[in-house]
Amino acid sequence: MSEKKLKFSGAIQTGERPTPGATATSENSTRRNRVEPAPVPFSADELRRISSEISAKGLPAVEATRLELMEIDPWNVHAYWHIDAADMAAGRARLPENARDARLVLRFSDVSPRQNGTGAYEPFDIEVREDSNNWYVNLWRDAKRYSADIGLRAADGDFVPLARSNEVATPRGGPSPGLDFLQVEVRTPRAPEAAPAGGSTTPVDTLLRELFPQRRPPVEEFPLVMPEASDRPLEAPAFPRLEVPSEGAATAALRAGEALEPATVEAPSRAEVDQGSSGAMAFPVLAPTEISRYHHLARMTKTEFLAQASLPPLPPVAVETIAPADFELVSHPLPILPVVAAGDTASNGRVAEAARPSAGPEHPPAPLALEAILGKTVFSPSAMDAAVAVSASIVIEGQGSPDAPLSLFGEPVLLQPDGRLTVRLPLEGGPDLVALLHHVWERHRKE
Amino acid sequence: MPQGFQCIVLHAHLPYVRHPEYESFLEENWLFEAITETYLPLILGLERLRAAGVKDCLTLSLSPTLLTMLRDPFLQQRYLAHLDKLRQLARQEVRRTRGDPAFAPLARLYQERLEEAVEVFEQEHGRDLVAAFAQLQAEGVLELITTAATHGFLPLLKTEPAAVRAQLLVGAQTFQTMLGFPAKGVWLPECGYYPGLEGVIEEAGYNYFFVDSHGILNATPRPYYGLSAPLACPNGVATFGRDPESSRQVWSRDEGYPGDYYYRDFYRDIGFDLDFDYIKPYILDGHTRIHTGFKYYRVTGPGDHKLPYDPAAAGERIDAHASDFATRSRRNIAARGKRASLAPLIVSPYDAELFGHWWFEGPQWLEAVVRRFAEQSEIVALTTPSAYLADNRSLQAATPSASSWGDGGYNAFWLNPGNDWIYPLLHDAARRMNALARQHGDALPDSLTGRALQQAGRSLLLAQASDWPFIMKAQTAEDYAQRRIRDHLARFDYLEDCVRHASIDERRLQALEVMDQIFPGLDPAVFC
Repeated sequence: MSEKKLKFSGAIQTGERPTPGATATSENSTRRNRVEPAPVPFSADELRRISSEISAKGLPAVEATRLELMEIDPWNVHAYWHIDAADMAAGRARLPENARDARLVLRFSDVSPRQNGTGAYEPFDIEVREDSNNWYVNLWRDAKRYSADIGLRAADGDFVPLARSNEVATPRGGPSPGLDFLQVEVRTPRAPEAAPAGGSTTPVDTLLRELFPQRRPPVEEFPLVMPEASDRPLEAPAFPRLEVPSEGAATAALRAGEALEPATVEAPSRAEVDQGSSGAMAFPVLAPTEISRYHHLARMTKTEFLAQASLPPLPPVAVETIAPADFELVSHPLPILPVVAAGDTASNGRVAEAARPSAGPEHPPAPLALEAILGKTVFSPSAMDAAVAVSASIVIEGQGSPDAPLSLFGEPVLLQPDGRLTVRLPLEGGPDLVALLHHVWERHRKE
Repeated sequence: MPQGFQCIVLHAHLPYVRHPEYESFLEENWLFEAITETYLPLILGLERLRAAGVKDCLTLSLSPTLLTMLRDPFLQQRYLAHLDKLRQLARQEVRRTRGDPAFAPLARLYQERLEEAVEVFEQEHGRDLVAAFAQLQAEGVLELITTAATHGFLPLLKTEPAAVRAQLLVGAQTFQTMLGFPAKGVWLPECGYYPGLEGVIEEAGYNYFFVDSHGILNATPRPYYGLSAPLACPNGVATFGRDPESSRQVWSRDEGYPGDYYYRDFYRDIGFDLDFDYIKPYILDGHTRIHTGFKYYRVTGPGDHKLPYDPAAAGERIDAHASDFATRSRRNIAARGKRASLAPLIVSPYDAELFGHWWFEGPQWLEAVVRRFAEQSEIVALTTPSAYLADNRSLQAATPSASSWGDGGYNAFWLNPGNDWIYPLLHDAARRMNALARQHGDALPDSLTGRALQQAGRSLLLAQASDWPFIMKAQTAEDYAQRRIRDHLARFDYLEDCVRHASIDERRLQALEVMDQIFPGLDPAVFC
């Protein structure tokens, strides 16, 4: 990139033009006094004629042998090339006599940075037509760097390259696995000296906890997104339904479909969950050490949770299953949305509700099915504790188009290759509306 | 301290369409219609908001091609001639619809709007709408930014880095020359971003840019606050991500406000509805029916049956939709705010020409939205990127993912079998321009060689506009788009040949300077 300073002139407004009619061709004769020109110092006919004459020559030909790649999206690139006839002949001449029917191929190399000292990736060939000059290539994987050679490949595998491409980097098709949190000062025109390149290199996971205490726990402890693959059908619950014996006194009653409000959970030593038609359930009193084990449990990934949940020493927890949540697509005219409390039906957008009464036969799955499973884990403290500890989250599962970004509360949702998603979302106090947005691209066209 | 912030961004752009080689030219109407239907109503609305004491309510991107056309006396004159013709039609329509309770008020409405357009354009602002926008920025009502020189789609030009650099630097310089101050932010054409572009953005003097939602969501490392806060590229340039929900509320054909049944229908126009002999003087060359802007029906429903437009009923929907937008924004911010300690920021960018041109009621809706937020600014406050960054200097460092806001989210709308033939030619021309500028970099700007070199640069920049492949894919004015690319590349080829052979026909050069009268101070060194 050039370091040359630009030498733009000052005010440019409508531009100054030489005196109309001048035909001088020497450099010096063009330096003359300027006058503000008439808006169109040519007749329309003359301009049209000159334009037509210049355009009549046609488009310039690209002559040099060349191969270029351009990214289309995370999984596709476009290649175009021109091979000079002499270069093609020279390439064929380099092949043995019995290989003169060699085919033209694009030989792609994955030149992504190697990890853990792994060796070079095996190149792969895309056979292309010799009478073509461009090709659309599906490369299967996102966030990769590729380069390619175009050349002649004989039946025995001999390859004669004719041109090498530029290097391209396919975009990332989903959220980055990188979770570093570094901060950097932004540039401002008023204080350019405070615009450093780089920024703090101090990992701030711990700092974040101090700076943002009310935010959800850091991701490595309580992952918002659980990327591990699952063979479980969508309609099956993600968490085991633990049968809990009903016992003891009920205190804070939580109804299915009701968001957890701190105010609804009061101090007494037991909590009860009303699980719809299945009746009330109560929970054993837990010692503080056991509570901490539940907290630990709640911060683990799903796989870890399933493994730990089957261990006998832990007293059972309550798991409320609510499925499926409805989606609703809205047609015109748009109503004004009221504030939606959990359990209400949202009236616009692809909105999954945080909580909804159990679906019966009268609630068939919505066309774009998304199962919302509400896991309420209610902890009962010992008599020494003054408050009930409540930890609640929902697990959202579903499936969308693998190439359409999803966001939840404006945050990225990682999709599995087949488009499945599993998201665990900690619930906050108060009514909540969980908006899982499936991004679409629609634009009004300019004509 | 409000619970969060809402940033509304409008991107105003039209390709450079100026055809002095014709007495009239259909595509120049793109500019004329946008002035009448979008830019003037926007200015009027912003001036009312200024009078109400509103600050930092909007970020407006004005493209260099649009700035150039708005400041062009030739096009200003043609615009007034265009208005005169429409005012004639308005008088005729008022006569024709007299006594019709449904259509007569609408004819008078259009007549009043056209008279107001003349008054505001010529009398109040002396034909200079750029100065009007600059004044609004000077008074703190909005923030003006700009985009690449001719709106080139940068991810598909980057095989020749000098082409990207020229697009961004010429754009920045044009804005500064036209407005008298530098733009702090840049609207990347079609939100087209790729990692590394931030270096050129910084070189062009910008502090921030915008990307589509997934540019942020898929950033590396993962964005801690998602779309609720901007990111800082490692070089300190900030990037703001588009909020998908608020975008869909306005953009979506199926769910967006503009499709409300009470809003005016865009497609029913007397240019197509009335008798040919009646409308003949107001259509293209007296032969081809075109939109006149006189539209008497409302959306009504999904079918062809349309009912007369009722401005009063539409006004109620404007109020309702403005309240809905503000309510959703507040609720979205409240929901996000529960999960993050910072006050969330929602960025809602739109094409400016949607408001007024496509969506007739759009400017009124926008003004109503601003008023809704202003009434409860202690809950959610409107802001601009610069105002936000002034209070939030430290951002998470991350590199956005390559992305665009086009169909599919990447480059496919500008690179597909309908338009891929242009890229070998554009890249080749960029390489040749680079070589030409290096070889003749010492040519005096006023010399024939210097002028030819400049004009070659203009031709190249004009050929690179993203509008041409966009139109080819959309198949809206495909022939015109193809012709523009072919003409500009042919002009570049011609001028390169002239410079290389030191054989320059000044009359022809002058003709090209007159037809492509943009970036007069262009320095060929920008292509090196």
